[in-house]
Amino acid sequence: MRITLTSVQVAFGERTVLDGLSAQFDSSLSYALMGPSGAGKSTLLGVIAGLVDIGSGSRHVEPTLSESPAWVVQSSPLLPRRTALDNVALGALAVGLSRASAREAATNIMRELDITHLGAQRVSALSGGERQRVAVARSIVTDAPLILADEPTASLDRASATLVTDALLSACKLGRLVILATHDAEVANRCSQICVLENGALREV
Amino acid sequence: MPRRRWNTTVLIGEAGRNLAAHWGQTIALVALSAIIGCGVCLATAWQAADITGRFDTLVGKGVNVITVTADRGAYLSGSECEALNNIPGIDHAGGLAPSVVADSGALPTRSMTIMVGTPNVAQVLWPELAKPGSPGTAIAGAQLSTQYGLVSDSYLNIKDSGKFENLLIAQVAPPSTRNTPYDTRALRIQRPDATITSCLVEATPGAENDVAKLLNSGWFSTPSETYVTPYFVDASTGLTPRQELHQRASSLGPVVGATVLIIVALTLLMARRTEYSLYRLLGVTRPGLILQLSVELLAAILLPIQFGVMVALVIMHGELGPVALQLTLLDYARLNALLLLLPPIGLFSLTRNGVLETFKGS
Repeated sequence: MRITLTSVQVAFGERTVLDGLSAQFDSSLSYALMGPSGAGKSTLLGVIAGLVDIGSGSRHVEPTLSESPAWVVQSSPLLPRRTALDNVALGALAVGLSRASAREAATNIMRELDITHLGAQRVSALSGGERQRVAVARSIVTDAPLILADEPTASLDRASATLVTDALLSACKLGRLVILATHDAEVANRCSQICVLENGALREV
Repeated sequence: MPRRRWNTTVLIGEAGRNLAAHWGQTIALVALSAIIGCGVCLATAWQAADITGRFDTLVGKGVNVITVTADRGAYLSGSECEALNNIPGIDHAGGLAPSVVADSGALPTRSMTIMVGTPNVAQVLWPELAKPGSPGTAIAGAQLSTQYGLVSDSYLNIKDSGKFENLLIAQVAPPSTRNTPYDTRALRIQRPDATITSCLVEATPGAENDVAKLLNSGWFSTPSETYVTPYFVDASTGLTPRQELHQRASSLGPVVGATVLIIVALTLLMARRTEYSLYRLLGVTRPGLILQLSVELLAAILLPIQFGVMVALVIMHGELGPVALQLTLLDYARLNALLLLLPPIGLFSLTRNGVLETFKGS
C-alpha cells in the first residue's frame, strides 16, 4: 500500500496549515511525524485518512483503501466495564467477523503483543499504558492496512511508552502502514522514518 | 471513506453485553420501569374503578331515572308511558297510580302501602327484578315478604275498604337500590293502558339528556302541562361520571411516568456517551446505533413495563369493570407510545453538539 500526497495545501480560514506538502508513505513501514504544537500534525493525519478536505494538491492511495484507517489517540476510548479481550474483539467485530472468530482474532493479536494476561481484566482496572496497548491491539485486529496514531504515548511514563510503541511497531511486521504523530524523540527514533513538519511542509530527517 | 461492516446480530449482542456490564444501572432501570408500568396502570384502574363504582351507586339510586307528572295531579296515559319501552336509550318505563293503604288480613293491627302501577314500572322500582310484572298479580318488597313469609306464587291477604282480598304475589323483589321504603310495600300490577299519575322512565346511563328532550317534546297527549324532573339528584359533585373520567388525575400518569423514565434513561445514556462514540469510531452507522439503543431500551424499560402492567392487572383482577379495564389499557398504550420516542430522542441527544463524533478524526 502506498499513500502519495502531492503539493497538498490545507487552510482553515486565513490560516494555512499545510502549504504545498508532498510526501509518500509505504506499508510495512512506520513514520513519525514531529513538529511543534500547532504545526499541523493532526491535520496531516486527517489528510492521510481522507477526513480533511484538501484545498489544492492531491492525495493518492494505491490500492484503494478497503477498510477505514484505525486510530490510536492519546486517551483511546474503550468500554470501561468490559474486559480487555472484549474491547480488542470489538475491532474484529467491526469488520464483520462473528463473535467467536472475533474473540479468536483478538486472542491471537493480544498474544502477539504480549498482553494476553490483560484479557480477562476489566478495562477500568487497567493502567493508562495497559489501556493504550489494548487500544493498539484493537486497531491492529481491525485488519486496517493503515494505522494512524496521534500522540499515543503522551500521557505515559517511559516504560509504558516503550511497550505501547513496541505494540504499534509490531503492526508493521504484519504489513501495516503506521504513521504516528509524537513529541517524544525516543518514540520517533524507533520508527522507520522521522518527518518533521515545519511551516506547513514536511522535511525528512 | 470505506465503511466497516457491523453485523446486526452482533450489534444486538453488544447491546445485551453492555447492559450486563452496567448491571447496577440496568437493574435500577428495570425496577423503576416495572414500578412505573405497574403504578400507572394501578392508578388508572383504581381511579376508574372508583368513579364507575360511585356511578353505579348513583345509577342504583336512580340518577338516570326521569319522572313525568301532569299538572295538579292530572292523569297520564299508561299506554303512552309503557310505549316508551320501545324507544332506544330507554331501559324501562312504567307508570304509577295513587297508592292505597290496606290492613293486613293476617295481622289486623298492621297496615301496609300497596302501590299500583303498570307492568314495566316494577323494574324501575326494583332494578334487579328479573322480569316485569303481570297484570292482576302483585310484587312484594323484600322486607314485606320476610315479615309475612311471602314467596313467589303465594297469597297476601289484605283488607281494603272493608273488603278482604287475596293478592297473588307473582314475584318477591330483591332489595331496592332506589328507595328503601319500596321494600316494605307491595306493587299491584294493573293493565298497561290504565291511567297513571306519574311515569318513571329509566334512561340508559349517558342518554338522560336525549330522553328528557323527548319527554319534553310533548310525548304525552294529556291536555295538562307535563313536568319532567329527575327522580334522584346527585348533590355530591357537579361533574357527570363521563366528565369525571375525562378529567381524572390518573390520565397524567403515562405522561409523568414516561417523562421520568425518559429523563433517567437520557441521564444514563449521556453518562455513557463515550461508549457510543467508540462504536461510531469503529464504524457503527446511525441506524446501527438506533438499533443498539432500541434493544437496550427494550430490555431495560419496555419489557419491564409490560411485566409491571401484568402485575397491576393481577392485583386488580376481579375489580376491573369494562370501563376501568378500557381506560387502563388506554393509559398503558399511551405510556408505551410515549416511550417509543426514547430511541430517536436518545440519538438526538448523543448527536447534539457532535458528542457522538468525539473521537472521529481525533
